[in-house]
Amino acid sequence: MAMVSLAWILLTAGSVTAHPLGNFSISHYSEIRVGRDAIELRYIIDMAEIPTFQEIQENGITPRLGDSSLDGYLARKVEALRNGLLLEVDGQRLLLAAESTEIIFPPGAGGLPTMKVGVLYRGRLAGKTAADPYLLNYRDGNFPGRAGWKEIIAVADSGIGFSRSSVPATDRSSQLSDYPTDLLNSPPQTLEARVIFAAQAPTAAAARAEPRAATDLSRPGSNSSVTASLANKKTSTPRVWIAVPPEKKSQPAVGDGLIRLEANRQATPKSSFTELMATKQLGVGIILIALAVAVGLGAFHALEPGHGKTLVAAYLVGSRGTMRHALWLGLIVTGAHTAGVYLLGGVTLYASQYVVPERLYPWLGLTSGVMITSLGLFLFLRRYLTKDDSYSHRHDHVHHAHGSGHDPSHAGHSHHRHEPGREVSLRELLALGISGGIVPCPAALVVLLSAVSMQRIGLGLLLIVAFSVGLAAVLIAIGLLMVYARRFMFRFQMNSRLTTRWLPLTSSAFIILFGVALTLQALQSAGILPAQL
Amino acid sequence: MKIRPHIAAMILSIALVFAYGPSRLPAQGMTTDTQIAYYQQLLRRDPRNAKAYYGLGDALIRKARETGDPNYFNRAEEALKKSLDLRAGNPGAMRHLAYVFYSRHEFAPAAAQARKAIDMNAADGNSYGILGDALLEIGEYDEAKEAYQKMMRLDDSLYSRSRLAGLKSLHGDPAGAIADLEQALAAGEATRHPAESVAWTQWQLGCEHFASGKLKEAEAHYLRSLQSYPNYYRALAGLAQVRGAQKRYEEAIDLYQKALAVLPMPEYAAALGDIYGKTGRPERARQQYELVEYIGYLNTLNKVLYNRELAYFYADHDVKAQEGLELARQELNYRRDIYAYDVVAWNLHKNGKLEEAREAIDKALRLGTKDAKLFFHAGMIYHALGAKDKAKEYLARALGTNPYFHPIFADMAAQILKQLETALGPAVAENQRQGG
Repeated sequence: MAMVSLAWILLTAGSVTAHPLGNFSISHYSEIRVGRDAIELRYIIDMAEIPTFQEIQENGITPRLGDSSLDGYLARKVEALRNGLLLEVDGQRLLLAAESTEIIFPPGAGGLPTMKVGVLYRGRLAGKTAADPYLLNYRDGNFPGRAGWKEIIAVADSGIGFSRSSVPATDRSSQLSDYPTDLLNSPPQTLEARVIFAAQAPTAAAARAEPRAATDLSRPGSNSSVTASLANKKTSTPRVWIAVPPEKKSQPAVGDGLIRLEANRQATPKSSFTELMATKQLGVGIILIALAVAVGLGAFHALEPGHGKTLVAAYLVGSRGTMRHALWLGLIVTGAHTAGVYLLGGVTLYASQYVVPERLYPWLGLTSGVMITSLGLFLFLRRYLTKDDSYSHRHDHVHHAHGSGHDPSHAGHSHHRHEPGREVSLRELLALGISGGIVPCPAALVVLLSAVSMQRIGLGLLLIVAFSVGLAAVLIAIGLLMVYARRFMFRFQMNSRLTTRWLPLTSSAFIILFGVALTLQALQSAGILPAQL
Repeated sequence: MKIRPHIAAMILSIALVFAYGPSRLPAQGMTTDTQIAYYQQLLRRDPRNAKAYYGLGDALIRKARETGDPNYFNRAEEALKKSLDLRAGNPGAMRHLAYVFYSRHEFAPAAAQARKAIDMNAADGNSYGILGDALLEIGEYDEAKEAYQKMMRLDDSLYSRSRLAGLKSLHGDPAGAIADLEQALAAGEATRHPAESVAWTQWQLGCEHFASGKLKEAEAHYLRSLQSYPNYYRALAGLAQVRGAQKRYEEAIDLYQKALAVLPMPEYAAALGDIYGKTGRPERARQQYELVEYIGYLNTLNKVLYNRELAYFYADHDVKAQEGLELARQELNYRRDIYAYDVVAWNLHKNGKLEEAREAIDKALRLGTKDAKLFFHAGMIYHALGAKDKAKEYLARALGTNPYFHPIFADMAAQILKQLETALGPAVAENQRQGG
């Protein structure tokens, strides 16, 4: 029998390209589809030339569609593959029944056969899914250690929502029929998945015809709440899960209940260049948005109370500043401010030249997180402890003499400012602008450190430029307004209790939270904290 | 006019952070897969990051070593070339590229590439290491030794020690090789080298012990290798060989099957076939032999320059003698190490070209390597030539070096040796054995 198949193979051998993943690869694909009363598992195995030959040898099959030798083989294969799979819901293994199977033998290198086996398994859930979260565990233990593309995706049917999923909702290989071959898409090696799902409100379910995409696991947003509710569930009375063997050929509740296989479409291999261009263009769009946001941030930052920048305006009001002075002072403050933040970024960039980046980044992230947290704490405490904050701010804007009061570097200047009629010298402008701007402010630091923790130091520096542009624009605008309409200042006072006390407090609390989040994430990626789920 | 600039700024910056998606820092543990994913992520953000391409190339090479999948070497080459396109002056990328060529058995280009890397950075010991590796395969043993010694001076590590060990082994100093490997292993474990590198060294130690017939020690090292890197295909096959020697055939079969399940290497299939044959399962043996030929056929289709195993297989199993000789002679075009001469000699012998075979086996033995397989081939060639003393001497040395060297040929060597001794008379034989 084996000789016959070998002869058949060699006779029909033509000239077709080799398997894209190597002659001995075995690729896996699992699509987990969670429905209200059942979970469907679309499982596909793609064997390249050598493993196909081994299958042919060991099982004495003829690699031809419809061949009678395939019937028994396919039944055994479905069983063997199932034994390697584990699908659990809340710790209870689901019994999987094969609903549909298919086998094809697309020609590979030299026309030698390759083999694809697809099985649609179905595991029934005991009863309808309730609104409490369920934990789904999946593990593919077939062909351990063998090279190949190993991909798992999970999708929710209508009426079901995923709160977390360790795997994406869309595949990259079109069910093992179109392997991306560029450098940035090396074969995934996913053999395990965890999904937390729950039933959604009926109205929501009805509204959604399309299956919902799972949220990406690595997004830190909703993590804590889900884990918390899951933990609550664990401590409450455990719900009993009974795995019920599915009825033979029952009506498919989810999907179309059929499995279809396709040969590899590698005729048009994706050029890595176009892939890169695509990501680059996307990058430009995002960067433009980011730049616009940074300009806005800079503008807002110029308006912040209690930060000594409105001092620029105040100074100009009191010192017969001209339009030219306003421009200069605005630019100097901005320049100094940018330089201060750059200095920090430069040190970071320099360090990343000499330390292996993958070792550095978790620690940079950690440093950023800790710095942001302590900055937030510092600001919070200072604002909290400053009993009559409004007084100093009133000072800032109305009496224009003491600057931000907290900054000793400004004290020296305060003496000169009462002298009316004195010409504004460039040196003075420089001293004032630099001392007022050099201290990196929280907002700019947050932008930079966030960029660092996202491993985009270059972008961070660019964002700081944009930030400064916004800052300069507003500072200059204020300066000009001051010069020509001094009275504008009085309309711009922000000395109510809300703006001088509660808003700064809230904002520093925000900074603290943000810093803590960054720190935790960095600790996880450095492997110090266990990553949950 | 109530503005809340501070809060607005914070919300905007937070929004900015999340607009980018969460920070995808390298995942914990940094296995080879996560490392690959990490560099790909960096490159998706900045496709002009030469260092990330270099890192990706490095990770892909490690993946290729772990899985034995040559596809990863091709990807690594692509990544390294991109890195060099973006920034020409990276000696590390040059050296890695040399390693990729070497791994694909393109030895001359590998040596040339390694020399380029050395020109760029003469202080990088690893470049000398790869140069030495390539020279070793080409058969330039003295130059290879020189390169390794330079490497050793620059960088005393697992990689330099294990290379020196290989050289000592080739020059017939297994004890020295084992000592070097032990040191290499200690260095590797102390500096936390990648698991595969440690497992490789342990596997190599197993091989050295097995080559000297020390089954217990070989077994221990293979088991340790499997602990360092579970399911490591080299160690599975090594342990299978030990089990075969211990006549624990069912375990040997199981282990060979496991190794083949990870990586279908033709030599594993051939060895499994031999065990099946020995235990009276000719049908199963034939299946494995067919698999060996099938892999060889695929290699020809894919224009892989790697058919030494097939040439050995043909000669070992007395099939396709002419094709075997052709394959073996092709090897000499790009590889002139002692085993290239051995496979030619063994195939010449099977083709009845005994004089040429004797010349070739002498070249294979020129370093004084203590390898039972080489001695056995020499013994068989001299036996066919009718040079009884030489035949006896080599067969005895084969069995003296490693009485378990092959499940079939070890028995064959003992049998022929016995015939030769009885033909010469017991007294002379006894004398010869003591002398040899």
